[in-house]
Amino acid sequence: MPNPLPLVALLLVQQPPSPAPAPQVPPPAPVIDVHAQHPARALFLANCAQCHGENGDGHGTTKLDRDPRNFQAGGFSYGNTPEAIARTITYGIPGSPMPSFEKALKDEQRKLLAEYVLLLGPEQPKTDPKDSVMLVTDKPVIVRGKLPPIVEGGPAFPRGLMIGTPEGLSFEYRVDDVRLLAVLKGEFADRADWRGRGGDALVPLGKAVFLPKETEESWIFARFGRIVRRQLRSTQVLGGRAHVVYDLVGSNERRIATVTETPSTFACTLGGGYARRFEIEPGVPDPQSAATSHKVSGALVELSARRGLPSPRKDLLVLEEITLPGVLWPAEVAEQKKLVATFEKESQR
Amino acid sequence: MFTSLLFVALPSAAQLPVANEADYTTVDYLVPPEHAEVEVGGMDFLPDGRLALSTRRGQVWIVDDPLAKDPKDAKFHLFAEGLQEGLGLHVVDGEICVVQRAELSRLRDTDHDGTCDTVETICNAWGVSGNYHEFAYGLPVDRDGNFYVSLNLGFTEPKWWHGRSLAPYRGWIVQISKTGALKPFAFGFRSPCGLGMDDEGQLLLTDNQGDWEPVCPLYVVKPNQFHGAPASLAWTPQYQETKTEPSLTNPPDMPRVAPALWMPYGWTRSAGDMRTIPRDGSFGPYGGQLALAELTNGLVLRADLERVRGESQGACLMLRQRVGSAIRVLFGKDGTLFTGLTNRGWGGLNPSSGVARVRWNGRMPFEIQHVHLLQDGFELTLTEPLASNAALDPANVLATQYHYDWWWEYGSPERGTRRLTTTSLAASADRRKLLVHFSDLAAGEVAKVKLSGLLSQSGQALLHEEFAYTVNQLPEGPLCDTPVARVVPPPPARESGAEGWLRVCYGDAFEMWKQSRWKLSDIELDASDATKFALKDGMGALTNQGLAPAEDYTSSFVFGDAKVHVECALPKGGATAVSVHGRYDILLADPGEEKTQSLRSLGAVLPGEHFAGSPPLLPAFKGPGQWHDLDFFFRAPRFDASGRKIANARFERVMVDDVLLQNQIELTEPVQGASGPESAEGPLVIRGGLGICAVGGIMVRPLDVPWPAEGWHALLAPDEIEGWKTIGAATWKNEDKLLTTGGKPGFLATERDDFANLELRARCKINDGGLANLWLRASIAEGAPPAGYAVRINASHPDPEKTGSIVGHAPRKVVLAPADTWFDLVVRCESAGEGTRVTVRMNGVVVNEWLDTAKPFAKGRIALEQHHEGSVLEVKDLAVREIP
Repeated sequence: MPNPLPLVALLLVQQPPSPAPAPQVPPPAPVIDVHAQHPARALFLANCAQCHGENGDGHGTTKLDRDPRNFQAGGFSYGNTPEAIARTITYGIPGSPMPSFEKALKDEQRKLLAEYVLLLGPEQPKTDPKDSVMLVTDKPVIVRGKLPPIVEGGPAFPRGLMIGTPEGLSFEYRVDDVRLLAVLKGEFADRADWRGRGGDALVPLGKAVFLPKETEESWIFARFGRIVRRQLRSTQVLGGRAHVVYDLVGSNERRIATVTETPSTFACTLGGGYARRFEIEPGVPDPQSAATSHKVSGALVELSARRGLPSPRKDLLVLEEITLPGVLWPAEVAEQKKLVATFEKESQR
Repeated sequence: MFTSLLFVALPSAAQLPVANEADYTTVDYLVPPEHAEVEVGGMDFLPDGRLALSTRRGQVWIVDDPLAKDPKDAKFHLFAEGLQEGLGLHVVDGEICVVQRAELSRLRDTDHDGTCDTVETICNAWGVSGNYHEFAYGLPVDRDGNFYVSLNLGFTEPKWWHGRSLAPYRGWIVQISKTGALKPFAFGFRSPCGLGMDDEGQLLLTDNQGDWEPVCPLYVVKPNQFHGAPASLAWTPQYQETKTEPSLTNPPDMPRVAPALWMPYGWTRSAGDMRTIPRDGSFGPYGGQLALAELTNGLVLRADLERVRGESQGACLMLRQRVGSAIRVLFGKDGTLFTGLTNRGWGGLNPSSGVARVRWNGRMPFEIQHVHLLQDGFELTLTEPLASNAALDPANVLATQYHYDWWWEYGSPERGTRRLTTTSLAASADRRKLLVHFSDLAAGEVAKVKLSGLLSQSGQALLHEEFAYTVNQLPEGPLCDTPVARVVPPPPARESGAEGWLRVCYGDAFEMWKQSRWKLSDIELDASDATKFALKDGMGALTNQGLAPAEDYTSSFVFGDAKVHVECALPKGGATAVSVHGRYDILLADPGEEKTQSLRSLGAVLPGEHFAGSPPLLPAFKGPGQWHDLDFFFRAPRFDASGRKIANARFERVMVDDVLLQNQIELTEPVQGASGPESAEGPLVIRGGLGICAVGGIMVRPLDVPWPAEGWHALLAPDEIEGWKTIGAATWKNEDKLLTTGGKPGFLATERDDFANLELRARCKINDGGLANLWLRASIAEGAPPAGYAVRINASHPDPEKTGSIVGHAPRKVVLAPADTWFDLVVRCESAGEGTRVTVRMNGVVVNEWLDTAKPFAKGRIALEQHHEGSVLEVKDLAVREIP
């Protein structure tokens, strides 16, 4: 049997007829509602007011097992974003007296109602989209946050950090293994997690110009033997540079070395790229797996010597890696020599 | 159950002075720099008295001179930014430690320029899945320097109402040592926004009401114990070892830590953290008790805990209202209560950010200073002596007790509310103490007590007249093992569309019913006589109009707990009742001129001999000839093994056109005139003798039918069809625990061919136009017609035998489950003396039964049949239980 007549259930409740006022009592002051002109006002009166009150103060005519929400106070079970409220109107809060209006109202009506309900409450702190944009001026800025996928369809990174440099490059790191994910060019980042309930991913504003391979710096660390994980120790903005400090952790949680990585913009006659300086303080060597001298270790650019920069401490190893468009360092020897020459020239300047 | 009604009935206290919080405490607000939105998440003092604030925007502000007389003189400096939220802050050895969403950090100013340059990671070893709701809160530090961080559950789509633990230790408190070692500390939390530590070093925590948290609790945290929200169980060794996933809907069977306080819903909806009120009297007479932040209502509560039978419990009282969206509290050295505010995205009273300072002005309020539980009442210490004993009238005490449901739905009403009988109200000789005694105070419930009419010696009225004491235990007698938040049957799952429903009139209005005299017709109100319908050819409704003698329309199927949907139209003066089991009736009637809600109104629950019945909460009759949607949840009575009734039947909610008319009506006895003893299952009855009515669209959705598990064996291994053979050209795909048919006609049959007495179960879905058969005791061979018992699966194929039919023998023309909708199918096939009985259950209800006295099929294969190309049957959980 098909369902009987389709039911138009917009006007769900008939308000009980008001009793005639006693003659000697002045009539109650008219309810002033600055939002009376809102297109959802009638929907609100028809669907919500019997519990939440005509003004949304939580004092409707219906007696419930718990006080309904006072919209004027502004609290909601699942947050006060229009989307969360529209969803509650749609599905209700089973277990509580809040019913579902999925059948009774149309999608647009529920959205309008959510908007209206929010208007009844206290003014919301608004995050001007401009306010949440982080700018980099005279020194690098480091922010922690969730990072969106680097490539379309890829995973997001719930624990991430971004370094913005005054030169206009920014560096995205995955924190769990302190891995450089991407180098971007352009504006820095928008803290989208300042909106709504929070927890949204940062919005990098630059364009990714380099996507380093996961193994990019392995030629540096291979000399220390097997590294089980990397553990972030700190981030620093000191001396006009941003640093990421992390431990290389071997088996049995042994600290093999502590690395201070300093990413920066690198420009030379070959073009614009980025440099990563690794200041490595060896820790406890791994007796089990002797350090394997990496096959490319001969190509290491040991800057402390080449650039005549004294290592701050004797026990520090300072290395740098430069990446230029189309050229991954270390590359073929000839290219490498050319680069080193350029590099030296640059650093002398 | 409506406590507010009880309060209204109190004698008027108009002659008493009115006490006002503002006469004793002042509130002012620090002034952040323009454009700075200081959404406080953590607060502590630096050794030099400056106030450090971490915010949800990942900033840390330092406030110079936070105690400045003029709040404008307390200057804000931005110390750090770029953190991933800062919902907890603690100053350790002069350095600011902040818990971010994904990391506990120490912020250092190594170049001493007044801003943070180094963010040191103390620990980041807890999981973050990326879900927005995975806040991390803190940040108390114990005497050994360990930090405590509480980790929120995630709320995911599409079932966002189930808090889920998507990464390690979500729903836990973790302990982090000075050196950064993380230790899971305690579990069972949902949205544990407030962590703190009392003077004795006990870790305290407030959670936020929602699933498994009926209202906001305050726990004295117990290491390695379960506190109530089950999603966190995923990371316990027991669940890890057995690879068990915690149920989102069924309560786990394990001990729970009883909160020291369940805070009344009317007072708290989003609890924040807490601090001990200074004992030096600098914040008034509440020293040693707790001040608790409450965000939604924008206030600060007071908790007065004591130890009873070795465990903390106590009273919750109002402390200061109209402060703002309070999430954090902190006392300054002069007793100023700094209150950190934020409400972005969460919702709470304005002001919505910044810092409020609440100060006691030195004037002593007349307050209930202490609440001490006695075996049969309370000893209340007052801040001032009573003016006289004149008001010591038991009538001035209004006390109720209630408990909560512990379930997966959002929050719980106060259940079983009963008024306590005050046997006496007396004062000590110095009139500083009140003794209130009840004849019926019980453990395992919250007691809410309100005193009125009391005046102090100095002529003041009580500033706060009410307290709510969580009576986990009484001081003496046997220990109570009933928690305040009680295990109840899981509430009905939230249905998705048509799933789980049985459309018991669709396609054939009579097949599932015992009567055939009701008329199937289109109806409209008779233009010349509104007291009856004009009937026209059609199948729009079932009506009893013109039926003489009157008879009820009674189903032949029976059910227990269920959600029921009936559509109904009435002519002027018309009436019917929808009766569950023929014993519990909801009236659908034109109330006529009646203006108030009564037992004659549409939606009334009809009375029994002693049961008073229940009028609806609201008028819901739209007028003669109009259709009304009745929906209700019914819980059948419960019986123990001996058949003794142990729980009454209940209408959990009754709605007409989605408006709630009845809520939690306990049916202490059947309706007047019902016959026979109450039972766990029974039919649905549409009353035919109350007047003219038209009904239609009747659907029943059985609730919580257990999906049998014991003794069942899966018939299909995951992702393979081993042990089965295919006959014909059909395709069979078994992926992700889902078997899908396709292609041309064919069979998928077990290799084993000696299945005899058994039950077979499957969750099935058939597409529009599809048709399939489930074969038992089958003989199937290439080129030969199949033989055996076949149960049909067909929602919309033209074949008249629909789902539930026993093909060729016992047809079902009613379309119980629509196409493209999952339903549960259990078929039992058993031979006994009289023959072979085949019973078909859908969604837990017997929908067909047939006795084959010829017994031609003794044993055979189990098989699925793909009937035609284009038909798509999907099957999950295919399992068999052989009957010995």
